[in-house]
Amino acid sequence: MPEPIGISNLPNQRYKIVSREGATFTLMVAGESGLGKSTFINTLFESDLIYPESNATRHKAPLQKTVGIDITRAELREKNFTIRLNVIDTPGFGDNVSNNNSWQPIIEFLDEQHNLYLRQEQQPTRASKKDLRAHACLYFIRPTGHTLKPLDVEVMKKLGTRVNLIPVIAKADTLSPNEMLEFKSRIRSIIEAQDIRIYSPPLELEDQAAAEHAKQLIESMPFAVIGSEDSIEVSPGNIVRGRQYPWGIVEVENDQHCDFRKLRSLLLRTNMLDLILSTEELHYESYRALKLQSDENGKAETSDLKRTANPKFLEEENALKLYFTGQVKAEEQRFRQWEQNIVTEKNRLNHDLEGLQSEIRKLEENIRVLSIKKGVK
Amino acid sequence: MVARERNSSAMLRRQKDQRRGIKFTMMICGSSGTGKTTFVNALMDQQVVPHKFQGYSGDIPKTLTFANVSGAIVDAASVERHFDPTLAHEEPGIAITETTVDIVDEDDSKLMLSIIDTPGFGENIDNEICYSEIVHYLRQQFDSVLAEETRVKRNPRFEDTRVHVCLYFITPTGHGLRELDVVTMKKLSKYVNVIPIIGRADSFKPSELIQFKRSIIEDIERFNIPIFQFSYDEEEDDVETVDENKFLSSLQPFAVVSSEKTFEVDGVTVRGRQYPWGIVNAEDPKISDFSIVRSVVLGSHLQDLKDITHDLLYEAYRTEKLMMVTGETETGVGMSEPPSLSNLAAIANSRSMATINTNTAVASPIPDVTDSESHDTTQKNGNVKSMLIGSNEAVPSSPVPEHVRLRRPSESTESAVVPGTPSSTIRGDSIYPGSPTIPGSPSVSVRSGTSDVRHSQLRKISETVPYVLKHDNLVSKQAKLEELERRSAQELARRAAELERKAAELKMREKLLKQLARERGLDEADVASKVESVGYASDADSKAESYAKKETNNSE
Repeated sequence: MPEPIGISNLPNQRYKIVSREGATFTLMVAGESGLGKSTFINTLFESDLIYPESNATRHKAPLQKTVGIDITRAELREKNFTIRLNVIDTPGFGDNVSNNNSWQPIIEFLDEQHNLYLRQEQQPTRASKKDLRAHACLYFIRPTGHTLKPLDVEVMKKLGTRVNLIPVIAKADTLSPNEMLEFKSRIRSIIEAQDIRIYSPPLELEDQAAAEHAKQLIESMPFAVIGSEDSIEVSPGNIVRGRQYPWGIVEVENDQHCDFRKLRSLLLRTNMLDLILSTEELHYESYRALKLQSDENGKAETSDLKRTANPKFLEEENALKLYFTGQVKAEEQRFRQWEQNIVTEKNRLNHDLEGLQSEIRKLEENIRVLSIKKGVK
Repeated sequence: MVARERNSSAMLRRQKDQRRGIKFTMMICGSSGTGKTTFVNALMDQQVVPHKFQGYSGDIPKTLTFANVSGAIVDAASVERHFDPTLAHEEPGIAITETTVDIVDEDDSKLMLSIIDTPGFGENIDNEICYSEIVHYLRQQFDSVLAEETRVKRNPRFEDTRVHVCLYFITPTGHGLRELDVVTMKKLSKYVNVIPIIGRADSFKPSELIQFKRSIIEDIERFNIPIFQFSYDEEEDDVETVDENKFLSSLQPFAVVSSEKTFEVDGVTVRGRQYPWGIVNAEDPKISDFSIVRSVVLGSHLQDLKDITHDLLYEAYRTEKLMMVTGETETGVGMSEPPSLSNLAAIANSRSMATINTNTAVASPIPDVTDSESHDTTQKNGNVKSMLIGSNEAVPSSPVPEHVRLRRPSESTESAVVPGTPSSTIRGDSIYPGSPTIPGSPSVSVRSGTSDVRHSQLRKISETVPYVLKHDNLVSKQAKLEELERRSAQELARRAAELERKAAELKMREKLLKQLARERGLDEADVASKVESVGYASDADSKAESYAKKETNNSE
């Protein structure tokens, strides 16, 4: 048998390159506070990436919060393969009484990353690009057991068109299996009915096992997860991550208890590359196309786009419009008044004229009478 | 001796109450998914409130009022009946619903409980509407009682709809209170006893729960939220009461796990929740304060809650309202004071008594408050009677055709039945001179009924207050309606514009299609189109001409 020429060795070359360079993965977590976002991140990467807010600083912030963007960078190493991890957190989201436009900072941040990357690409030297485009966004849903809130629907709609959105039911250990089934089916039907774009792993038809796995993943969306930073010894020598309640131990990595393993598989084990690629190909491309197209169509459109996109500008515009129409109305009123004045003036003058004419007529009459009298005389 | 008589009259009253049934109104408030419905159903031991999106055969709660953010007229309570994924993006607004339940105890005492629910709370994008609507509702109930109190002819079938307690369910975030929780509890506590409750406490490990409770207490102190206090007096109350109240206040905020399902644990059937990893026993005091909340709200502190609602919250509201209404008549002190102020003095006096006495309520729910209250009433009765005698003609004919009755029928009938009635008035007098804090004992001056000025003022108040309140009510309703109208007009305009836009789009498309068809079509069509276009042009020309003519006319 002849020696193979070596094309089949390409994957191995690739492997070497990748393992030398490592990879970058950006994960965004969004959702109301108190849903275990930080705990989940720590559980997912089995390390203390994000520290919980300490109790001493809790009261320093004002009650009415603004939505912020927190970025945590970390370098993870497993079997001498490194991954540069960026975790984007959105503290303060959904915490206020009025959450109008509370999604604005998040959306702006996402767009800004796309924009930044686009600009860097257009530079003459672009060897070292900073890339913070979120490859996946976990949206945490409160385990109410009822339905999604309008706020959730609104934000998920907006996020779905910009990143790979993965809805997640937080704190799944507060819903019994039946309640969870019902809740999941409701969320799924809302996602369908409201046209929310969520990420779904590609189905590879050639590979039966992979396709089966992907199907399983799709079926268990939205993932119900539990996070825990504690390790508990269930039986001697068997230590698991879990939450110890007086009524039992919830195991994080137990498929009967939650979908944590499925989600981890989706995020890290099987579909990380797909998440990164689809961000590049789908979301970035569509942003780029939109951006460049609008640039081509002239600056006016972009500014228009920006203006309508930003509620602050919109408000200003409305106020200005209102002011303008008010001014116009006032001016019109003034003109009408003026016209009115002119008309009355004209009438007055006409009246005067008539009066004068009648006087003239009277005088003429007098003259005539006088002249007749004279003639008589 | 006085004390004994007080006791006996209170006993009689209690018996009366038991026969007629005690009326108690409880409000359940909190974000969706914190276990409110389950809690209520578990509390009543039967399904009285339907779950969200679940078919329900029993009586559907009556919607009292609702409000909305958008122009759409949607009742948040009815939105909850059926699940519709296409409407998930619409803000439900907020509704206030009422369910009434009668509970009969073993000893034949009846409790007429009405449960006020607030579906839609916290589910809007902008939740300001939620607490403003609830506050509005609470104020309205106070207003109706106040109007009834001051009316010359009273309605014997008047129902007191004031809310006695509000159980506020805190979302189990583990991070302390959110802005909505703080603002809502603060606003509500002015009109109702607020008891904060952590819903679904089974989402916390014991250590987390302790931490969460601590942060909530910290937040409550930091933002000065006047929640219901289990107050006690070390000197006056007996040891048991002190201990119990100490225990209860140490537990606050109560953490509740509730369930409608029962499971068998160690051979005992208990309410609980079943998870793959175990069964939560909702009746275990170590896990859930459910049984404690039940006994506090429906048992030990029920009278306490009612008394505080009437003696503190309502009185404060009443004072404020009457000061506002009769602002111009309050000029001097002593004789010229309207009865609202004389009452205020009495209240101020009795309140100091009340605060002491509400503490004793647990052991002996016969607080002096009820006494001073009944004294109040007799005093008021005096007012009304003397007014009726003094100026009968001047009494305006009230639209309600009922004959004149006193504010609390129970008390009036009681005084008629009980042979020791005079003792109550005597007692009243014996209390008043005994309290040197009230100068020129107003009650005496009222009863003498000689001062004409006083009469006219009294009349003025009883004539004006109900109508002013009614007027206020009407005005606020009107404002609400106007707001609604405005919003729906906006919504309508928006929809109309959208339709128009769509129509224009369709027309455009049609035109394009026509053009396309024509281009491909026969020559005749081509000619026709030309003719048509010419027609259009000429039309446009004529239009322009006529317009120009108009212009010239105008300028002329």
